Amino acid sequence: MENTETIKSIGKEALKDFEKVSSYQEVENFRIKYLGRKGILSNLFDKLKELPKEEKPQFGKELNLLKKELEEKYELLRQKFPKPKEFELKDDLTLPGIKPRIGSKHIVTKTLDEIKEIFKSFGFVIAEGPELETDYYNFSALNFPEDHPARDMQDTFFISKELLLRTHTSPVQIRYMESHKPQIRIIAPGRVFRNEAISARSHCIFHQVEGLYVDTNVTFAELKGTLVNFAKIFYGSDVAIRFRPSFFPFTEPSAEMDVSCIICKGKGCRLCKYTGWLEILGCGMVDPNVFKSVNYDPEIYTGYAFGMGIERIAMLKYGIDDIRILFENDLRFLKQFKGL
Amino acid sequence: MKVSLNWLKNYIDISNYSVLELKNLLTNSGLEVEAIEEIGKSLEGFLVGEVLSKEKHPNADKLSVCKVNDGKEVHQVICGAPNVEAGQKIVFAPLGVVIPGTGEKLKKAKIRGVESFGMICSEKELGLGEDHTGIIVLDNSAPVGIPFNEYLGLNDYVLEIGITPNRPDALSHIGIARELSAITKKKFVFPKIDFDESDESIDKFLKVEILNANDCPRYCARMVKNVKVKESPQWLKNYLMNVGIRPINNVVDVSNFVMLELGQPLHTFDAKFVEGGKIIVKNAEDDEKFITLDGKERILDSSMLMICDAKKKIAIAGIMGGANSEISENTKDVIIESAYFNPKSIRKTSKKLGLSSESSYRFERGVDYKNTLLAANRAAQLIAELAGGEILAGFIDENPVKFEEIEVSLRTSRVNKILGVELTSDEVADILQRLGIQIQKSNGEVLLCTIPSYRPDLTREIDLIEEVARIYGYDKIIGDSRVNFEISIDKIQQRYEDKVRDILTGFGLYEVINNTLLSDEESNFNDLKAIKILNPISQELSSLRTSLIPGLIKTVSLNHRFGEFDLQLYEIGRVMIAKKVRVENPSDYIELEKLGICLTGKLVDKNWKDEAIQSDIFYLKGLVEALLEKLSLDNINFTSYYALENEFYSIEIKVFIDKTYIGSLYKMTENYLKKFDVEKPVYIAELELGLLKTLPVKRVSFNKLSNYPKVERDISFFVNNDIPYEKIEQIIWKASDKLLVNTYLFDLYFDPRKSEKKSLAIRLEFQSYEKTLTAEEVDSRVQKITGALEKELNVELRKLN
Repeated sequence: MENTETIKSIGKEALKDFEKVSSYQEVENFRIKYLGRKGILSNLFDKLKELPKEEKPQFGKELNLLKKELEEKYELLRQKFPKPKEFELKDDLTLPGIKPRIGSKHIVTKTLDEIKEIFKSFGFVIAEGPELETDYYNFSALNFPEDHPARDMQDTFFISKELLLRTHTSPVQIRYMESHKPQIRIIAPGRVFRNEAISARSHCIFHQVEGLYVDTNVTFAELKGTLVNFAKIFYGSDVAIRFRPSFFPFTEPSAEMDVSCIICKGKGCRLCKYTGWLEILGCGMVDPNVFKSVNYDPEIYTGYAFGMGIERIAMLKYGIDDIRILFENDLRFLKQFKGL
Repeated sequence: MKVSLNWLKNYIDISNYSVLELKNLLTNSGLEVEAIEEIGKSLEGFLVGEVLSKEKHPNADKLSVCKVNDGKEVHQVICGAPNVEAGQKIVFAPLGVVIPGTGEKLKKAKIRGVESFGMICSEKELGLGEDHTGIIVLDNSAPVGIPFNEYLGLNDYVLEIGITPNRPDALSHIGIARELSAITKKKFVFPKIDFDESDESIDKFLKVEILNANDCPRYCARMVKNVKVKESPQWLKNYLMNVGIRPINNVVDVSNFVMLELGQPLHTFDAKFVEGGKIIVKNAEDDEKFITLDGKERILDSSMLMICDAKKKIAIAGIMGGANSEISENTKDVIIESAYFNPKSIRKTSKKLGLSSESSYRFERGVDYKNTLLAANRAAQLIAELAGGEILAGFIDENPVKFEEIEVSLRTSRVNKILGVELTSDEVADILQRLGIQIQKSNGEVLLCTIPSYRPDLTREIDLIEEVARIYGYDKIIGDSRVNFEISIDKIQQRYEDKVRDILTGFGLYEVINNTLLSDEESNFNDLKAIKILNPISQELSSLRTSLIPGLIKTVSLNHRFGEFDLQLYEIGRVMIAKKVRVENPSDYIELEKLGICLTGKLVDKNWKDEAIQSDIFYLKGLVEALLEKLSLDNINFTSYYALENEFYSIEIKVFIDKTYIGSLYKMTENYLKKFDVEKPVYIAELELGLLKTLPVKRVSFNKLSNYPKVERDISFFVNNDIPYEKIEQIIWKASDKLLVNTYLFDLYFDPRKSEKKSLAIRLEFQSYEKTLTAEEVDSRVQKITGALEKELNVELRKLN
């Protein structure tokens, strides 16, 4: 009897304690007091072992019932007052993200990529040629007669009497036609060299894209159609375009294509020197003498060619006013164009 | 070429066109107007005035109170100049004009109690000169009330026209007038040449002998005796100054005027210094010396055509006269030379001497062979008008090689075929005739055209087609947007370089573009021979790069200057390597396409979670490996060594695909980097991109996936320091069967207590395609591996927990 009373009073006390619990810490205290290794129940179980044999079953049964009851209470409390999370530094989600490194292609490459994409969609394929060229490919085969002032149009770096750094990508025209038969439809990007003092406006190296289309019945009207479409894709469909006569030894008729100034839209500003126009590319119908130098019959084949400076186009497009910065590779400059 | 509109008006009526309209007309026909200069704009508002009276200022000794008539009103003006007098014609600044000398607007002023309504101007105030000691006093004939800039002939527009090398005919005022006439259909008037000759004949004084008729097909001369060399009249000086030519004296100014009027360069000799009454046109001898009128000594050779008298050389034909026969104040008798020189000969000589002039510029492009005598006559007329003297009777016209008129036939169908237009033969003929081209015959399809002497550029049918297109108007040709192309089956795929760029950009690298041209010293890399430029701009840019490495280090250096030390860069570009010291033809060098990759500073910045990662040779090696993997290249091998003696790099890792060498990775030496002011370690890989393109790529195809889990085991051991890791891997793989699928070195350290040994920890991955591997199966294989390592490398296994 005495044992039963003990269990009942412990049960009552525990119920009172249960009612009073109001925090996780008190839940823990509750557990330690009753269910812990040195808690009240543990003591009672020890006591059970010492009881006379006949008292054991009854006490054991009551004790187990109490234990079950207290465990249930404890479980209720645990749910009601869960263990609070420990605070960690990482839990501040406003901390800055850790970025992967970002790289970028050079602005000249990106501009060239854009130009290539457009002409690829017009059916042009890419061709290449050497930067160190012979006089023949750079001049003679392109109808620049020896001792002709046309050669002064392009100040040349010479390596020897015969060798030079190409002044334009046009030699690729000759090399390609020598090894292919019409229909020919190529663009040839590459580096070119001019023996000019380096300034904000000119550099001794720059890059060009050459275009060449040869077939039977190619007309100046097609040249215009193709280049107008190129300009409208590249600069937007509202751009105004004009062609005016010019001179290149390897094309005739020759033309220069201007687009309306991208800043002032043709009204006149500093960029376009108040003309409203920006010169974008040179072009023309392939001169019959060029066809003769690659053994094409100019009576059968006609063609057009065009060429543009990539730096100039990039500079106009992104408002860069000094060509030198393109080849200095200042990371602060390169980083500005990583989003393109 | 500068064209003055005031000057141009002498030959064509352009009064209906504004300057901008003229600019567009010329530009759209191929004579690009690059700039318009408004002469005398700063003098706008100033008037020619007359001082009616001058009285002393009541309150100031040095000031005068003047009454000035500006043609409309009389103003009271205070003037401080000592030279002002009643009756003078002066430059009057009315209230409101901007004074060029000060940039300020002139306002009514009260000077010592007397009001002033304007100003009488000095040179300095008008920006015309430095003189401010007195006012400008004009010629008494100056008409009162007209704008001062008009009085000076300074109310002019000057068009700066870019003349392409094919258009020598446009290098003169009549040439531009002729072009405008073709465009506008306005009448073009040639200057009237009309003068009296004296009784004496030129033949008495001068004979001309041409010894090189090929280079001098025509030589004309006129003589004017008893001239008075002096300053030219204002109108002539204005014409010349407005187009940028400095007036010298009336005789020289006339020859410049005629050149700019007619396009024919002239030379004038002082007849007194032309010895023996003879002009001989012949070649120089090698190494002869000659002083040109700019005072410089020129060394001649036998290809150069000279103008000589009976005893000596007096001019380099078509390029520049000699100091020994120059027109001076004392010149009395003038010989006027007007010739046609072979364009190629002039160009060669001009290039060789490095001497070009307005004259050689025109001769080398080809002058109008029908103008030769005409220009001499025109000059004689003007010299006689401006310098007095008598024009001797007759002229010299030696013309050993006759010029032939060029005839070109033009098919109307060809015009339409090339241009993509539908013009009739009459329309084509009309355009050509407007350009002075005569149509001899026309059958409705073929036009037989005679080319005027001033258009040496028109020799072929296509040249005429261009003329038709130009005058018809490029803008009238409707663009044809249809595209007709064959699908090219083999060339549409992405270019290799573009793929490399995409990969490296994806790895977080920035692309750079460096100059091909370097200094001799910079281009010296790794004993490769650099190609030198014969005519460099400067010593800094005189050699072609043999490697991308110097350029990359220069880029690092520039960025260091701006405090940017963490750089991961790549460049794709060509290099040229000489095979001989003297590179003369294409077999003497090779041009290679290279890829450079450069790492320096931190690869990853320290952040709030992790430590920074510094670049080193292993990150570079891993980057190159990853690139090659992305390019589907297999069997990558490295051969590494410490280059103890090399001046450029201290470590080189050679990269091979199978047995093909494809480039190297380097750690650059401190000494080499110091040359570029770089003080931090720099790691650079340079790969043969041109070669990589040609290597066979691994065919990418699907491999069945294993359905069974991968089992990992880590082994760790001490091994002697001098055993390379590569060797350890080889033994592991040799001791394994195909169930070992991967190895991975995850730890490496040196235990200071075991200084001769290093500790490695390697992860081994096993996997079967047939079953789940049991622990025993894996363990037995690990034991085999460790056994082999113990046996062959004497490793000391460590227990891993």
